[in-house]
Amino acid sequence: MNLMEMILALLAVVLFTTLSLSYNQSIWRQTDYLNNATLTVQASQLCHSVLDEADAKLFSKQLDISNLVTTYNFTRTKTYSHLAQTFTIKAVAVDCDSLGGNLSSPNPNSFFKRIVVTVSGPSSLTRPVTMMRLYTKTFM
Amino acid sequence: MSVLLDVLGSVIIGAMLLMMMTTFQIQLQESSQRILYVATMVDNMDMAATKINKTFALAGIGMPVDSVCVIAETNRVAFKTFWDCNSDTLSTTRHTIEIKIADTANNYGKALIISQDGTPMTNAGYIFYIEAISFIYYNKSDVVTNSAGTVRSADVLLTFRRDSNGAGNRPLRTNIQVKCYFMNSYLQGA
Repeated sequence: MNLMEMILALLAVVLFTTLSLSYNQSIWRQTDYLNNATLTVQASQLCHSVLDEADAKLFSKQLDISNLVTTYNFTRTKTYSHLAQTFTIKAVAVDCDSLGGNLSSPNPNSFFKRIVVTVSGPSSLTRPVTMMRLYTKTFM
Repeated sequence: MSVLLDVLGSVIIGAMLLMMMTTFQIQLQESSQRILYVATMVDNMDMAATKINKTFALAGIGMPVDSVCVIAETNRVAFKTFWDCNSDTLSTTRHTIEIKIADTANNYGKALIISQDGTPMTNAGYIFYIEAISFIYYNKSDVVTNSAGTVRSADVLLTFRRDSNGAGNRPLRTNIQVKCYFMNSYLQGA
């Protein structure tokens, strides 16, 4: 094997390696998409469950709307056995105006409360999922 | 000797190239299957979760809270309501809604069956590609219960499965867990 042949063989190896890395990288990326899509659906359901829990407790009067802000300000974790991954749930409840906007000054007697739930955690979930619900005091 | 080495080297490089191309083709086929799976399955998962959540939310209309849930088993649930889930209107007659999966699978896997008075509903009767369903029930205080009369909410775990086309490939599976509330029971004070 002369020098030219050796260089050609080396170039072939470099070409194969580059192609292999490129293919593998795209396959890993697609696996990430799969995991991210699945976890996004699960995370959105987790957001719903926190907000529905608040709805249910308010409906049954287990929770008064005036206590919503103190009760739904927390950070907790949730682990599912079928995923073996831990989600972090952050709920932030505040007094707000009728459109869900922030008040210029805090007013605990406001008729309107806003809960924002953000679910993050597993590395495969590329972006946190956030949901907001506006609560209005209707029974005076 | 030199020619022999050249031929041997060429054969090795050629074999490597062939193996690599074959592997690439197999991986490409598998990843395209996965993309197809994700595109259809995520939509199917979301739809199943929405349907189940909605069905639970409309349970117990016009019923005393301790008579809403009549069957609370690990793989099926049944409850009563004066809501007609077929026409999505309030009804004058009491209906029994049941959620379970079919006993046998067809080409689309097993079906999640939501039935009203024993007949699968026209708008949400069958949701396919289900492998398993399991329920964990909670009472008003969010404590696990097995007594149908005390059930106020449930965790529903759905496992979706689709077989891979390639022989010997593992089936593709995804799971989703949904927390559903009997909102009408909570509206009555739970």
